[in-house]
Amino acid sequence: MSPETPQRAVREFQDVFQRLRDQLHRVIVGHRDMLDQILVAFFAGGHVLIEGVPGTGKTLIVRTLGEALNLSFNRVQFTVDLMPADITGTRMVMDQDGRREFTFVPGPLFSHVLLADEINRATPKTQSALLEAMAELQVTVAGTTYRLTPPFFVLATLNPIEMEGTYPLPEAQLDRFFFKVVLTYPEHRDMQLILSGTTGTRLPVVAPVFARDDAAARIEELRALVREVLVAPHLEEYAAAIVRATLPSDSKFAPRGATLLPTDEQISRYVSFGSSPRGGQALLLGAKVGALLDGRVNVSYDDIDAVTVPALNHRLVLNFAAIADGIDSRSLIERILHGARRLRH
Amino acid sequence: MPAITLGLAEVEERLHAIRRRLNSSTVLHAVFIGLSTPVLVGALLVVLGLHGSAPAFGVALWTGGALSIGTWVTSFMHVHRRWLDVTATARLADHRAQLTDRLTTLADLRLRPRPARLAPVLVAQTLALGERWRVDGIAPRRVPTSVFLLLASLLVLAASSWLAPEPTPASQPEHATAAAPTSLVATTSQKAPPSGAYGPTQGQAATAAGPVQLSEVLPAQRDLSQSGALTAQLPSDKGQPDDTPAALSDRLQQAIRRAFHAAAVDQPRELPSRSDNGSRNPADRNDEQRSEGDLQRRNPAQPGKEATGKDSNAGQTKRPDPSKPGDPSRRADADHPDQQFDGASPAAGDGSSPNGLMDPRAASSTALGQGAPKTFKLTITSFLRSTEQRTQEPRQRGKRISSNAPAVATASSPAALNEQQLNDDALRKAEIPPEYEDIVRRVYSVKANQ
Repeated sequence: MSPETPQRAVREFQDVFQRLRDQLHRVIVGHRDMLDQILVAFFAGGHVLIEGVPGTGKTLIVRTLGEALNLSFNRVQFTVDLMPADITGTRMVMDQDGRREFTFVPGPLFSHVLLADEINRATPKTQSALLEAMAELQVTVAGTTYRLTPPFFVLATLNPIEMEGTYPLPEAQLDRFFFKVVLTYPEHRDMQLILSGTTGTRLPVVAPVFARDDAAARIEELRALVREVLVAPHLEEYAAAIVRATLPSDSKFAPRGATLLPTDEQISRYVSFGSSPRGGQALLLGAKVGALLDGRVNVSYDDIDAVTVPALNHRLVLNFAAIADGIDSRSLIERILHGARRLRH
Repeated sequence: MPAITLGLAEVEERLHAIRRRLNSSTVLHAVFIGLSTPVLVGALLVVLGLHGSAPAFGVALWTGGALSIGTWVTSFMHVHRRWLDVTATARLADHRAQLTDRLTTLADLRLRPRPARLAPVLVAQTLALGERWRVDGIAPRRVPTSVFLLLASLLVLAASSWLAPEPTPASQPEHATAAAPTSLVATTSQKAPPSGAYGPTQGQAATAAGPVQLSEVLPAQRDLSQSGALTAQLPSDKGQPDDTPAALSDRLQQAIRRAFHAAAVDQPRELPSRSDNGSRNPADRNDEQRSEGDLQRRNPAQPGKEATGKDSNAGQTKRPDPSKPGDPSRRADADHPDQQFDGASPAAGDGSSPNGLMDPRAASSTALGQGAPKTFKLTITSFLRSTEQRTQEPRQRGKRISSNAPAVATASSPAALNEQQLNDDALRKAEIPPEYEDIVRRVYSVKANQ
């Protein structure tokens, strides 16, 4: 095989990514790193949980992304009375040719890009309705399984305030998200740009990167290219060691075998449950995207390190001691990364 | 052949070159470290052998041995731990050339049964960055810095030999003892009590190992005892050699002292009264260098002759042939005429014969009793100056060796030099050290007074 073909695919990937980035930045001011993480998760085939205070552009980001990708886009505002059938779809009695029969009416899940706004306001029952769709790209209604059309990308937002009447996402639900991106308030300069750009008469318009006909197919090709990026065994070992280091040593679920990294004392003290193997998958897939963005076809240590925090911070379940001491999962992950540097060479 | 195969082969070849160079550097480093420690230990042993006590030398010997073995084991473990396979070499090259793990990934690709779709891209990228990971750039051809440690340890070892005591008059008995022909040392060490700077150490050595150790160290002396000439003097020779660690340590220490002192005494000294502008007959220097070896070769024949008191063939066969002036043995014998003497002479050290002067301990003990200086320097060739005096002494042929008489030093010279030998320029030009003259004068003045 000539190296030109895959080399061209790599260049195309970089080009698509850059064009998407540019379109997002036409609408979204600031949040460059967060936007890149969202795009990385998208091309890695994962879903993103966006946590941020109201008014920071969470919904705008998702809508802009859907428009730039030129994919079907749906938005569901999660409320406490939202039922699972409201998002998955339901069977309804339809009158066809004089006959009445049950017909499945797809819900908003049946789209390429789904915005689950304020997902923590829905009941756990409704939240769990997303599980099957996010993990297996299928929905089962009344005993019938319906396949979702790839690519399927869920962007859920989470409001960290106004916690009254909310239902924190269960760990199983959190684990389905590839990344968790935290949106902060914009910087002063960005705030000024937001104000000037959104209060005038001309609002920015997003140009789609793909044609609607072949958007899904081309995105699937790019996702397949991501999975072909090469990973050396020692880098897989490195990622596994990082995931293993998130497990507290006194956990009854932790493996008893030898570890490459010693368990950090703070992990044992503040973490109730560590990352699952899904966290490791997120590490490597995110690192592969990062490698392609850098023009490489192999993963490096830096690629893994770059995605460790967004890939693992929502998978660490902290205990009350951490909350009392003001410890967040990000600081714990950075400690793990610091300790893992000795594995590099 | 596909391009990827060619590219992989090139990458692999370069990785192997880097690996060879890095591994050889590791081995060299370990070897240098492994050699440095024994050399340093050797230097310490030389210093302690010359100046230290026997217990300190023993401790240093075994500690140094253990340290050397430990260093070798550690060096081996270091090599084992640092030994690089292809994957490890790739990781190292990745790190040094900042190739973001491209080489490591390629090294892993070799082991995959199915080639990856992106492998050609990786190969092309890696080869495009080839300037970054040249063999000389990743593993420069250089000698490990540990070679300086080895050189320094060699310098220390060389410097330790300078610590050998100079053959000053105050220390001449030691030097003379050490520099004397082997048979003399062995004999006098048994008969004369230890004295001089070696006193305590040598006394301990003699106590611990006794005459046995000397006879073991000196094969010629053992031959003497086996022939029966020194049976009465070396009773321990009949027993088993003492192989205890202490005895080994003592033997090694004495060997060091002998080696260094022999070298020190055999050095030609600058004589203030030299009249030949510092030039010296090279034959003398050669003779001095040969003297000890010659004597050791001749010793086995001598005792048998003395023991029987009638067989003089051995001594006669050693004599130089006057018809062969170039015969090397003739010159050597001229330097050591006492080795040709038949029969026994008065006991060494009694001062009754100039032959006794060949035994520096005896001379020293005689002079000591008269308040004379304790030391003197005696070179092998200087003895030739007393040839005329010796020939005037009455011969004592056929006299058996008594238990009190040293075996070799008692030999007298019936006809040490013939006419041709006496006319030999090398012999005539031989210098007589002033110290020797003083000793001779003192001894003979004492004898005359008695």
